[in-house]
Amino acid sequence: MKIIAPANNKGGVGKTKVSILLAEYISKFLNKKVLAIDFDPQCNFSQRFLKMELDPSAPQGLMPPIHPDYDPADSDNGNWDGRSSIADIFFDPGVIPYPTYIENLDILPGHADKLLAAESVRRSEVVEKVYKQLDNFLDFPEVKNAYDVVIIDTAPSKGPLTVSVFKAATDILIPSVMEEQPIQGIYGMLQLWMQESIRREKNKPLNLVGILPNLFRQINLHKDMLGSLLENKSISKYIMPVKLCQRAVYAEVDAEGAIPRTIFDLPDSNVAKQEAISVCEYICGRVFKHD
Amino acid sequence: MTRRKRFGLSQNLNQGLKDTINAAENHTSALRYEVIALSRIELDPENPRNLLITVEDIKQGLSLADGTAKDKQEELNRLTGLAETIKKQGLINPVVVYKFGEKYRLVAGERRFLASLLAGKDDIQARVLNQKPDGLELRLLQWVENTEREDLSLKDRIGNVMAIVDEHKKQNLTAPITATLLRELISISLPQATAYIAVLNAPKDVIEEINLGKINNLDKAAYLAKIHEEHIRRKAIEAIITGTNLKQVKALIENEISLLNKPSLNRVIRKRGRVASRVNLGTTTKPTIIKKIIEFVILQPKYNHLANKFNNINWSEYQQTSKAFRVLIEALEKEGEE
Repeated sequence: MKIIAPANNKGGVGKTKVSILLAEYISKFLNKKVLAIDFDPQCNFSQRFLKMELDPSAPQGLMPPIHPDYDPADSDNGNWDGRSSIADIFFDPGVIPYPTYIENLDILPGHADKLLAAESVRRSEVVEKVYKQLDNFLDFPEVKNAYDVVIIDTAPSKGPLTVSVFKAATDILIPSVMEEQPIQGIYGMLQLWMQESIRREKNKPLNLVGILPNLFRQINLHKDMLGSLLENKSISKYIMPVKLCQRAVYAEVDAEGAIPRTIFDLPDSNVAKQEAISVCEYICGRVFKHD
Repeated sequence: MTRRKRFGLSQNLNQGLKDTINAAENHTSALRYEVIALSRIELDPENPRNLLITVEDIKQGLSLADGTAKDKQEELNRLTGLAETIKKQGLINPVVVYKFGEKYRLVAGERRFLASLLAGKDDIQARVLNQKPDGLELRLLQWVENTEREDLSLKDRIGNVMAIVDEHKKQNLTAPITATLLRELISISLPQATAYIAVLNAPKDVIEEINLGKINNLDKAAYLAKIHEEHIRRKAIEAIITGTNLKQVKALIENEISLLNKPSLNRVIRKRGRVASRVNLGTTTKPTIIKKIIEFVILQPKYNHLANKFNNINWSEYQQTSKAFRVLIEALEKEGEE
């Protein structure tokens, strides 16, 4: 089972956008069973596929809606309140993924308050209570048998939640804007990758798919920065030969009630769609190359 | 026209990216150092123990009923010394462990581990390997660990080298271990490697003395190993045990060996082809040299009377000069016989 995670602790570089594109592309076009996981307390990934609700006990954050399979009259429910999020792996072993409008795609949404609570443990406990939980969860036979691919959206942070994604993932990619400070963010991510890489056993490596230039504009700044990275012999092999340009349509499809609701429903001649498909093809080529 | 501004990554960032990627790509599991709780570390049951004392002994104290109590007490005393240093200065050399399920097993550093327990520490610095190192790698690791300890006896060092040689044999059935190979494996000088190989092949009496701890110096042991004659070797061993230095021992033994030698035992330097039985006098194109030699000889009071033999020589003539030289040699040979 492949576990792919876009990561960058710089916000606004397009992690969620890439997560969405990959989740939709793989489930629609590659016909694989995909589990989307939202590990970002902001819950934007979840909001794409579910109608997230305001959490009454923490109104600044979102929580998942009631699960479609929840029957309040069912006596087997026990204590279940009808909602399920990935945060539950830190507190209680039972999680129930939600279906989405795409048949092969399920989602375990985030829950802002619970994710933040899970992250704020004492340093001495973080290994046991946080780092290993995601890895253990994804190791359950029920999960491995149900899904071919897991896509995990991460928060713009290097905290315990992100570290636990690094510990669980098989493939990492780093979307970035081609500007000085976001590129410094790449440096930080490479450090995390390096530290986790040397801990991994030989048969379970952490693959760096590459750095994806995102929100790219045809201005000298972006072109020169990209050129600069390509001139650095150590990193140039990790710069993806594809990129996503800054296009209004990428944001437009996320608006509520948008038509079409996904880039992939645009006509084949559409530049944005072609670009999105190239990026997904490249990433999938690198991820599934041994299959 | 404004000059187009060229943007680029800062020097630091460029270098930082390069270094990080290199580290990730070239990682060996050996680069990982961590601080690990002592409670998560255990001794490796598959490795032979160096000490009698156990973790329980440290935690609960030695039991008087224990038959090995005396030896354990000695070990405990030495560990206490190490524990004191660890309390004051901390542990300088991390131990080496490998991950085994939820625990870690010791590859090297048994004394440091037990001393840390004794010192009341909660955790210890460790170099973490992802899996148990294979036979040869394990032995090499332990060698590196052990050579940093000065108190290791020659017996133990030989034991380690022997273990390394055995593991190597297991992996390379055909290749015998040579000094060059040994030197590469454990990073020592060629003379040292040669000495180790000599000691590994030493005769029984030398090995016995090493095992008894009577011989602790590698060079002395190697010298002894090469003495073939048993009773001479015995003399050398005794000299070394009583503390004679190597130079004196060598002089003593050289003497013994020369007394022992009969002419037939003399080594003859053999060249290829027939054995030389005479001196080859060679040739020269400069007869004046011969003139000089002869004049010099007859100047000696002892050989003055030979002068008349060389009165009528034409020194620019090759044949006459050759004959003159022959005459000289014959005359000197004759003189030598008297």
